[in-house]
Amino acid sequence: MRRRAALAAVTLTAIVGLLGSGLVMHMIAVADGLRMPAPFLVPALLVPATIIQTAVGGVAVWRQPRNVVGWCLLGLAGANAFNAFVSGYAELGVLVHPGSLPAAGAALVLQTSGWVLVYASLTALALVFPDGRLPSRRWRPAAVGVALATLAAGTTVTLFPGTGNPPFDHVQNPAGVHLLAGPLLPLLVLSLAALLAGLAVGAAAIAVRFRRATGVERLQLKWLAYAGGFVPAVLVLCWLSELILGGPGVAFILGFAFINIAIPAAVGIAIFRHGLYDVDRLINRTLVYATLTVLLTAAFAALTLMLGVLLGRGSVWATAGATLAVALAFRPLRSRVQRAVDWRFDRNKYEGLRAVDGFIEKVRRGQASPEQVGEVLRQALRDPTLEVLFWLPESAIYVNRSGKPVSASSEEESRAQTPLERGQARLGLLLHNPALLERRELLRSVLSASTLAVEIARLRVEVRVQLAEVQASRSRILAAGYEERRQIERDLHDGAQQRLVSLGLSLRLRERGVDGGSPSLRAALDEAVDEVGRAITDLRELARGVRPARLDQGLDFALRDLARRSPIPVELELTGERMPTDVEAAAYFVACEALTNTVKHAAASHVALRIARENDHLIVRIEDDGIGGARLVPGSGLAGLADRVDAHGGRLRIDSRSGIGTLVEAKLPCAS
Amino acid sequence: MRIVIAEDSVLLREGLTRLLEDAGHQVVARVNNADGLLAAVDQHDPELAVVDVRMPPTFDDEGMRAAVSIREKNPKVAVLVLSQHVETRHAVELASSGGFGYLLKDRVLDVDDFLDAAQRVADGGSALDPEVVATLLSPAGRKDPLAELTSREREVLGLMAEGRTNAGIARRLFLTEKTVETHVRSILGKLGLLTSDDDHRRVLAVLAHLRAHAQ
Repeated sequence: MRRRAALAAVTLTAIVGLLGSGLVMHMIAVADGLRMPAPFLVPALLVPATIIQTAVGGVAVWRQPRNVVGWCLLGLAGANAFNAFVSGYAELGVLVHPGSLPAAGAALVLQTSGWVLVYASLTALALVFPDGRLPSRRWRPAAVGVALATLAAGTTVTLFPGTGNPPFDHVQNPAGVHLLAGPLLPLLVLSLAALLAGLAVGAAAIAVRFRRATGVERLQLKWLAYAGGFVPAVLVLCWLSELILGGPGVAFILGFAFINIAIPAAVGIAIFRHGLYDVDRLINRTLVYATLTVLLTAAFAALTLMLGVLLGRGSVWATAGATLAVALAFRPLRSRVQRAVDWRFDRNKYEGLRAVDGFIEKVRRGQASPEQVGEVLRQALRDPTLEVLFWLPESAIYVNRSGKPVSASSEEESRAQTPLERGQARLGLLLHNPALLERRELLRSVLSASTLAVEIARLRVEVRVQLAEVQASRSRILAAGYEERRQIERDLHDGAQQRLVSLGLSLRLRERGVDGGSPSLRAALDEAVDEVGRAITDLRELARGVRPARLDQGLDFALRDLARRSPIPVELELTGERMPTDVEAAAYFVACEALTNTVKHAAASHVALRIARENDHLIVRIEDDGIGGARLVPGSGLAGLADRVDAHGGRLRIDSRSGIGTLVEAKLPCAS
Repeated sequence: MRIVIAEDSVLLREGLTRLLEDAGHQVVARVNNADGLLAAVDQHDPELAVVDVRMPPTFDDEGMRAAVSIREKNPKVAVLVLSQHVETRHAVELASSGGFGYLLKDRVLDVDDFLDAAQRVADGGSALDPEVVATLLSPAGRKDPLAELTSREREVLGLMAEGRTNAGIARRLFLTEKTVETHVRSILGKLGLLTSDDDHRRVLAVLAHLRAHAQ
């Protein structure tokens, strides 16, 4: 462990030292008259690239010391720093101030062959990424072959005579052996081909791993493949540049620098898993914009050419027209290309989005309800375990589409949770198969397309839940009211009335005790007892008005009492069944209120009170032959009745035509 | 006679005791709950138990349930139930078997009537509160035979149902016993009941009829 750390420290110091001194020597050389095209282009690209490689490699070695991947990156950085050093040394010692530095010739030789190390590092990286081991033991010969090819290429390049790249294009390779130029040529070609083959072997290793891999490793490999995918692209670009411009030049430098930056960056993302999941989106966007660029460039070129022919060569109008056309075509073309890329490279996303879009359109036309969004997502994301939970901010809970609370924290581990949001607002939670997390781009785009439906569904569920809560609270209040009436009735009977009876009895005993005494006292006591008796009767009437105790025996008994006390003859039709207490109470008060109304206002000679059971409903019908004309006016007894029936989830119907009589019918739900 | 009183209000319990003792009865036990009542009945074997309907612990109808249980276990013990309000649960059923009375509490203020009813019940007769009887006598529909009774006949029927004898009814209504007998015969005829000279059996028939009708 300590040795590793020491080794890493030495390596980092060496890289920084080599890179820094190489850079300084290069700048001195340029200042002292080194002649080369764009002298600062290569350092400007190479220095940041090397720094990134060093940083990622260093952190990787520190965090995962057993993983060789970090060392591969440090190797790459080391190769680049070494090249910077030897070319700077050679520039000073061979070109600008010949003879001023010792072993300048050796630096020139190393400068010629140093790039082989870069290839070697990249190939090694491809072979061992991401776990630091070869894909299997069978890959050992391949690894050995790559090492031998590197060695062979390095040797032949060193010994091959000739001039180098700028600025060494006028200097002969001092280690070159002219006699061997003939026999070395096939060897050179062969070893360079082997070097390229090594890269192909690295790519094959990645492909083989990718096919076996699942989960995170698959995403890690995707990242490297994404960055590595630019290698052939850069090569093609270089060939094109050679064909058109007659040399690799700037294209080669830019491309190679890009690879030098892109690969360590991809490795860093893959190893540290930061932003690991965005790879699909990145690939998708890259494909879209690359295609778009090619198409727009081609269109621009073709249009410029055509318009040039029409308007005369070099016309400003030709360029302006082509630019305008390309600008106009950009947006529609982009969405076309996007869809084409989705369709070609991501069929799931393409079809998922189509399913969601179709669903939203159906919701808009009223052919589907937004709450079906869960089923649509299940289909769009191909996850039968998927479930959408809606967030109710007021009660701070998640509920399912039927409004049932679901505890999100206690959800089983087997499902992943993805928040559903619109801007900053929380809409809900998606429970789904964790495998979907690897398809982050699919998940993101499908969810973003269905946000509207989720939001509408959430609002509708919330309203339904709140309505049910209000409904429940209303009937709770009503039930509490019944219970209160019952309590008052009991208090009247067992409290005040009981006391009055005791008082009357004690007066009576007193009266009987004054045997033969003053007749006037006896008369007074007798009268007092009568008065107490009347008070008791009044109290009993009062208690009955609050709530008839007979309701305890059943609705039929209470209604029979009610009918008996009515000044208008009442024809009764009862069920003989017991109902839940609150339903009986509601039915009683409906009948009582309606009967009171009839007695007060209807001038009726006959009332029919009917109770019937229809499936899960209790029907209370009060019909009179009075003058009719009863209306539901706010604040009236009938309005109170309607509220009471409503609170039970029932319905009140009033039919009161003038001259015909009045019918009040309450339909109360009573599932029992 | 020997009496057990079950009543949870102390004032009323003491008042009842004095009232009954002043009338020459012997109150052998006074309790304030149903369990105590059953124990006292077992222990003292009284002729009459005066029972409050609502008693601790639930203040529901434990007095009535205790009455049912006493009548089942020991039919020789008569029970007079006192209540604050009319309740026909069990009342009619128990009254039909005799030896049972059901009165509103404030009837005790009519001391002579109350003592009379207590005596009647203890003798195996019945005493139903006029309120209860009125409830039972309310016609339930047009086809109800009760609807065919004249108002005088209904009055007589009410007193019969309360458990009174022809002589008692005559005294109450300031009629001769013969007139009462005529009314009774007419009532029984309209209700389709057999006539009988035995006051008690006649009352039972009336009650049975009313009960059948009330359900």
